[in-house]
This record gives sequence, C-alpha cells and structure tokens, in this order.
Amino acid sequence: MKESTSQQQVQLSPEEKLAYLRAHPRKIKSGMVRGKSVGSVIADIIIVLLVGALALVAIIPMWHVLMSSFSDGRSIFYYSGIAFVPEGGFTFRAYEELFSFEDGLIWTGYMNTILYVIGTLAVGLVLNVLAGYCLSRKTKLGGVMSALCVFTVIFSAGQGPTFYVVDMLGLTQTRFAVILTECTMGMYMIIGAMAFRSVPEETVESAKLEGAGHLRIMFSIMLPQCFSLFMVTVLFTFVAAWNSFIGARLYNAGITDLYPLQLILQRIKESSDRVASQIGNANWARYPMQFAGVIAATLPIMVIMPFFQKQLESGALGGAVKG
Amino acid sequence: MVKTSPGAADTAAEEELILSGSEESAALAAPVSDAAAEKENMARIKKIGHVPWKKDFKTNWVIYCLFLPVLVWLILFHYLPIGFSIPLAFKDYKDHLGIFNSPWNGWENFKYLFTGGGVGGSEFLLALRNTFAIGGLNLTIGFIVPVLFALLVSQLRFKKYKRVCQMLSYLPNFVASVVIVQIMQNLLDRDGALTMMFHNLFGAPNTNWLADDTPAFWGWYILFSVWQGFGYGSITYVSAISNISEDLYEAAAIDGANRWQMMWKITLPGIMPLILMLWLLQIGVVFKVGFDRTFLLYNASTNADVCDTLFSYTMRMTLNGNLGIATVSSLFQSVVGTVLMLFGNWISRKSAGVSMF
Repeated sequence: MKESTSQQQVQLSPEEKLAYLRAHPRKIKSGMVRGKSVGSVIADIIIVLLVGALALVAIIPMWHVLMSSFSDGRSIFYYSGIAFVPEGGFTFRAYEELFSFEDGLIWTGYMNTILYVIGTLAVGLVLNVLAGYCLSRKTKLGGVMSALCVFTVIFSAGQGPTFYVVDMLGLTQTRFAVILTECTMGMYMIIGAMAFRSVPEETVESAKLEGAGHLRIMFSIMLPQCFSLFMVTVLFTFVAAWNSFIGARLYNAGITDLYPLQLILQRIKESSDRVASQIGNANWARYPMQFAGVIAATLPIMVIMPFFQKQLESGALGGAVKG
Repeated sequence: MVKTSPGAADTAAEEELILSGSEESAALAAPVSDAAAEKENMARIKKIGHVPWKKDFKTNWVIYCLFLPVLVWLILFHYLPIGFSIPLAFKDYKDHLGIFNSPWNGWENFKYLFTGGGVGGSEFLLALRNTFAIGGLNLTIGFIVPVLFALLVSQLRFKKYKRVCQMLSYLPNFVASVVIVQIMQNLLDRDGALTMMFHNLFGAPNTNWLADDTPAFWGWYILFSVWQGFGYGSITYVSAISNISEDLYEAAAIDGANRWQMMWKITLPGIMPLILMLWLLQIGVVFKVGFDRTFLLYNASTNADVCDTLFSYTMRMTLNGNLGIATVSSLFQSVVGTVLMLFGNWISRKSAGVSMF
C-alpha cells in the first residue's frame, strides 16, 4: 500500500495530489513518516530547548525580583548578578519593612487600587453594555451613534486638553478623575456591539412578544448569552486599571492619599534607593523593600491571570493591535 | 476585524471592528459567510432608511435614552477635549486667567514647539526623533520576534510543554510599567546583572545604561519591550499556524520536504497575510503605544536627549501647567497618529482585503 501510494503520487500535479489526499486521508496517514529521522530528532531537541530557554528568559527577571525580596539587604546590595536563590539567607525582613513603611502606606495604595479597579470595571461595563446594546439595535440613529464611537478610536485629543476638561469639571484631586477617564474606550463599545449582535434575533423577538422591556431584554436575556464576549474587555480593563498610574499621576498629582499601588511603589523605590547613598549607617533591610513592593503589586495579577488563559488568548489580537 | 468586501467598507459609519481572536480565526476560515452577513446587514440598514423619523422615535426612544449616558461620557471625555484643543492651542494659557481671559497668541505655541525649549534647541524635536527611533525599532525588531517565537512554538510536539511555555512567555505582558521600569533600573544599574553580563561577555562598559545619553538606550528600551511582549504577541500567529490545513504538510512530506522547507514554503506563506495585516495595523498605533515607560525613565539631568518621547514630553508639559504647549504637542501626536492609522488601514485593505474600519 505504502509504495503504491507514493509511486502514484509522483506523476500527479499538486492540485491533483491534494484532491487525492483529501479523498483518501487514511491511505496517506499510513505512509507518513514525518520527523522520525536522526536529523529531525535533533531538531526537535533543539526546538524544545530553545523554546524552554525563551520561556525561562520571560520569567527570570521576575524570579530575580522574587528572590531578591527574600534576600538579606546588605548581601543583595553588593551582589551583582541574577539572584536565583535568596542571597545571604532566606528572610522576610524586606516584607516587614514594606508593610510598616510610612505607617503602612502600602495599604493606602492597595485600597486605592482596589477602589480604582472596582470603579473602572463597574462604570466601564455599564457603559460598554449600554453602548453595545444601543449600537446593535436597528435604529435610524444607529449609524450616527457608532460613528461617534469609532471616531474616538481614530482621533483623540491627548493628555493636555483632557486634563483641562477634567480640571474644568472639578474632577481633579478626586478618584472620579481616574475612574471616569480610564473606564472604557470606543474600541470596547464596538466589541460590545458585536457581542450583542451575536445573540440570535429570534430570542429578542420572542422576549418582546412576551412584553419584556429594553432593560429586561438587555440585562437578563441578551447579556447572559453573550457575556463571554464581554469578558475580554473586562479582563483588559482589569489589567489596565490594576497597572495604571498615568491617570492618578496626572489628575491627582502630589496627593498620596489618592495614589494607587503603582505610584506608592515609586515612592518605595526612591526611599529604598536612598540606602545606597548613605553607606555607614544604612538600614539595609530597606534596600530589598523595593523588591518586596514589586512582588506585592504584581502577585495578585500573576495569580489571577492563569485562570483566564483562554479569554486572554482570544483577546490577543486586540492586544496586538492595541499594543 | 475583517471586512472582506472593500466596497461595503466605505459605506458610512457601519463599523465592523472585530478585535477578538476567535472572530479573527473564524473570519479567516470563512470569508464568504462574512461577506454574506455584511450584505444582509446592509440590506437591513437600507430597510430602516425608509422608516419615517417620527415612527423611529416612537419605537426607539428608549434606546436613545439608554445611549444618553454613553453620549455624555463620549462628549465629556473625548469630544469636549477635542473642542477645547483649538482655543488651547492658540492661546497663551494661564491657569489663573482661565481659558476665556488668557490672551490669544497666534502660532506662538507651534513656533515654540519647533524652535524653543531646551538648552540646545527644541526639546520637542528631540522627543519626536526619539519617538520615531523607538517606534521604528518596535515596528521591526519588536514585530519580528513574536513571529519567530510563534514559528518555534508551533514546531513543538508535546502539547503540555507547549502550553506551559506559552503561558510563561506571556506573563510579562501583564506586569505593570512601573514594575518593568524598576526591573530595568535594577538590571541595568552600574553593577546590575545585565550590565555585568554584557560587560563580561562582550566587554561592554559597566555604566548605568539608563542614565547614559547614547542611542544604546533605545536598544535597552526595545529589549525590554520585546521581553514584555513577545509571548503575548505570538498567540495570534500560533493559532493561525494551527489553522493551516494539515493536508499541505502531508503533501509536502510525500514530496520529501523536510521540516525546514515546510516552514519556509507552507507555514510562513500561510500566515503571511496575517503578518502583513498586523504590521500595517501596528503602523497606526506606533505613535501612541508603548511609551509610558519613557515618562518614568526620564531624567532631565542624565538621559533627556534619548529618553524623551512625545508621550513623556506631553505629560511633562501638562504637569508643569504649560497646557498650550501640551495641547499643541498632543495635537501633533494625534494628527500624525491618525494619518498613520488611516494610511496603514488603507494599505491593509487594498493589499490584504482586511481592515479595522
């Protein structure tokens, strides 16, 4: 069987061959000897090692930070290399310093970040759902409404004028400035519209016949059916809100009480670096405090992310385009 | 994302901006059904066109009311700033005078942007140069690495191992900019791990690279961009590669092609349209995305000449209260960004038949 198949193939043009293959997939499978030669095995090993190495490269910097955070301050300060294990013995001193830094400043950061994340997610989701529902319905103004959203994707005013307007509205130096400016974007509204369009029209029609109003149709009939498509925007908004510092830096500049974790981290880093300049009477445990801070700010996201691998992967194209 | 019929694409304001991977692969697999759906959609729109306004409002007023919050948000945080850009750009804005009492000063803000500023001339022009340098590196190195990584990953045969490696590779994508900057500062310090590694391996000087006023800064910056983005950037390609028909490989195997040849002759051509499309779309955001770290790394006394970008410049001007300059800079950034975006989108539509709008 094997020989006859491959001999037949020699005479065929590529198109015919493909047609033949499609018609007789079984026959070919038995003749397939893909990647069993010595060269191929070596190639396999090299590829496995290379991909493994790259995956390690991706996490080594974070590992270095994690190990540095468990290190003795003096040892890690004078150590110049990647810390694969805690330098100078395993210790929690850095974390003790971190959580007692300026009367627990980091808790302010946690609280603010959580408030920003919750506010951003809530306002963003409501706006995305409303916009998505309205854009997906057949209305005369539908074109105008979606044009209004699309235009903001193409053109934006930038930080200067936005700051002016936020200031004019009296939102600066409040948490609302950050929440309202970062809660959503035109792109997510359009994704929302697509999510609602994916719900079969018959479902909506039958709900209407039963006398369901718009709000009921939107929230209790359509949204549960297409929420998985909204999940991408929720996840991206969550990550962006957790990592965001621009909004607070711009609108709440100088007000530590309103700073999210990321900006508190900067304060911690500055203070911890000062150790380096006052050699002699330095409080060495202060130095690895910056690493502990990084871990404290990053761990929640790193723990949550693997659970959403599928959604994150389906949103990857958006991420790639958006950057 | 995918608009298969270019004619329909021009019909005003009927957006079709699909940006999720599953939609993407579905559209790649079945462009015909997509086009059909589009036609149906257009027919629907036409039908609505005949409904008189009065009747439309009578049936749809609830929808318009529901859109109000969105409209208010769009106006407040997008259209109002755009509207205020014009007076801000042409006024010598003083905080205590307010926008109405600040004096008009013609093109002074624009002039300042291109001639005044820093000690050695225009800070803005330097920032522009650096934006182009970093953006250009992002469009080349930053774009190629994910493709190469995807090609490698798709060669892996052990499914579990593949999943784990992919997962690890895209963890850095979710790390905050502030954290990335702190890691950079740690590793590239005078005795940082990366500095010492390059010193020992290649004899590179052991200086604080981030405080260094040479173009080497861009190299380090892009190195960390690539580190952060290569895994996540490769996902789209990996899923596109897995969608390539197995028949093609089998046919090639029968012809005696080895894996290397299959990669060059089947895999790469198979994802070429996607690569091209993403690259063109990337052009559109190259001016806007990936610069927040420059704001954090900027240091007026050490790396100002190579680190300052349009983003950090505009941020600084806004924080200093130079709203006029910030606005002009933002405007410049937005206009160039928009032109690039429309340009990339247009070429993408012409050449690959895919576009964002």
